[in-house]
Amino acid sequence: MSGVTILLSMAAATSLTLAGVHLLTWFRLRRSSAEVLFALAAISAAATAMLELAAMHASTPAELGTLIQREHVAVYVLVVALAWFVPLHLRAGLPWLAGLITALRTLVLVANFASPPNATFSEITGLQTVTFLGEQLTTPVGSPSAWRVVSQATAALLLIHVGIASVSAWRKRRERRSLVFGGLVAAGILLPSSLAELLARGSVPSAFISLGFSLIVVAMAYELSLDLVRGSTLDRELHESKERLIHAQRVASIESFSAAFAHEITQPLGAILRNAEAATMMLEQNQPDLEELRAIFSDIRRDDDRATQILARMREFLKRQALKLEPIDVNDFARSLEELLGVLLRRHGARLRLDVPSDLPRVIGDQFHLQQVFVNLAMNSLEALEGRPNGEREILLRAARREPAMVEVSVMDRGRGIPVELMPRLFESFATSKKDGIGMGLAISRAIVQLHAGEITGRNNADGGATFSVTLKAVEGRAR
Amino acid sequence: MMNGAAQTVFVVDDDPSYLDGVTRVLRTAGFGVAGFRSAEEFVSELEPEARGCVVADLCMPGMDGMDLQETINRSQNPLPVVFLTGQGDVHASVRAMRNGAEDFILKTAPSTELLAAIQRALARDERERTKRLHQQSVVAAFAALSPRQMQVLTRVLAGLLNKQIAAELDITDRSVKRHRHSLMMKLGVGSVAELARLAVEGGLASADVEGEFSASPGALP
Repeated sequence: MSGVTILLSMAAATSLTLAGVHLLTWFRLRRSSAEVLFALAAISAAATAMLELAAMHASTPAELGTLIQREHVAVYVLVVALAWFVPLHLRAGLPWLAGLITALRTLVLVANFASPPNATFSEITGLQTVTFLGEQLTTPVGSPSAWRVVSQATAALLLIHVGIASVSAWRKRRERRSLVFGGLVAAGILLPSSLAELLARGSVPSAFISLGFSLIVVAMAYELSLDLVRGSTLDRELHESKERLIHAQRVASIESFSAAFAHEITQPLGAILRNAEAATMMLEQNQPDLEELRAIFSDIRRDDDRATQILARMREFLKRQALKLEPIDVNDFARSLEELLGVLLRRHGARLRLDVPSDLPRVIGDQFHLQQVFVNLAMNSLEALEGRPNGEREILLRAARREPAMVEVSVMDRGRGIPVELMPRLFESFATSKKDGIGMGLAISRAIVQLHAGEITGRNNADGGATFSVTLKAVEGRAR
Repeated sequence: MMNGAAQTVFVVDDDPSYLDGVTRVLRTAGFGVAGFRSAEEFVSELEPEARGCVVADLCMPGMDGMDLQETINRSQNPLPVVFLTGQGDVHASVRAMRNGAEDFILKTAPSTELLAAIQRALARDERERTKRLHQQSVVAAFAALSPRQMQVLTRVLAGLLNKQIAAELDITDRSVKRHRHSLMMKLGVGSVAELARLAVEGGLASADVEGEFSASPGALP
């Protein structure tokens, strides 16, 4: 195979591959139409390469004329795609310039078909053979079309357009990549233009527009890939910062929990002290009641156990853990919530009611992080219930099966409800109705639920109060 | 103690361990103790003649310590309250003291503090009980006065001379003197100063900071 064939075929193949990759990415992610534009440009670059290759092996002027005519279509697609890729992707440059370029190029395209043989030649009189890279290749001989001026004008405009956009993008964001992009595209436009001169003198068989286009395609691919890299870096950073936020939220709620824990632990400690004092006083008496003393020591041991359990629970809560997904029995989970929240709720004169059927499938989740979520929801409910008379401060925890293979666990109260103005931003960070809170709870809760590939929703009940529901994946297989 | 009736320390705490511990200590120290697991339980069983004081946990489900104190203060038998708490909450302690609590003690503090506070509270209960009784008898005594005597009394307290009173009430000077004499006999006082003090005790009048004397609204017929 000859050098030219290899060169142009490689250019075409590379362009098509890149087009395919980015079309696939766009199809899966739908991030930006810039990727579709790129795909179009790359496909046209490939087409141009193949057409140029065919043109260099043309046998008749008519054949050559038709091939060049078709080339114009490919060039049109690429130029227009590039013109719009620039403002869309670089987010800089003048959109009206893109419009102007499109209009002019459309004119050329119409002329391309309206006045044969094509918009480059008004007439192809003959063929000429040129030796290039050890091969005999044909080039056209003829009179240039008047429309060549317009084509060259659009090329110049495109150059200016890309230049303005690159520089302004660089000025805005100080990223070197904008300049790299601009440079590559400029080279891609200028290369064929300079080769055109050599073509006129018969030194090269073609202006190798397709090679210039390849440069442009490379430039666009470079831009897009940098975005992809940045996208995945952002993703990883987002995940990490979510984990950090979760930890921070734990630390923040530790403050409110430590107050509750402190209160809880003073009960057994205080009781131990009192019992010891009572025993001391009894021993001062003439006939200390030994049975009573035995009872005292037994109570001291019991209260010591209780204090130990409280400490153990607090230590568990303090451990920071990455998400460990495992099957969780919803009933056990609900009961652990009861234990965890019992103190806090009693302190505020509220109570937790459970409505968890015994035949629910298990769910997949991280026990500690899910506890965090429900503690947050319960605390929100508690706050909403402030002001309700003592008998009416009830928080309902209900679990139910949901199709297809999910379990929905809801926290319901008949409190103040969610303020209407907060509804659209309910789960975003810092949206809060609390005077001193920062409302991070719901944002963290949603982050945790999303890490579980689940869903969390909040709505006001028709008959007062609010319900927050968390949907989690159920484990197939044996239910309790 | 005034009349030998026993004083009871009423302990209210929702934590059973702590309740047992405290009642044990108090019993061993020689106090009469009654324990309650909730403020509601205590309030429903409290008798108007019960003497003693209340030791209550600040944080309880349902009616908490503060609510309990307010309920007790408003009742016929406003026993003194000593608060117990798991943490030193300055805000809560100030509120409690303002509402007339006898003391505010940490649950983990040595029982000597608690016992001292209980002693003070019991003494206070005796004092206040006596005062209340006295006030009741004073009010009864005033109620026994005739309407005319009452009219004279209030004008005397207002500082009017006899003839001014006579003019206002459209009676003779001598009648005024007569009413004055009999009401003071009935009330058992020998001077206007004593009369004034009795009026304050009976709630008919109040003495402000400068010793200015003013009749309570509605006292003047």
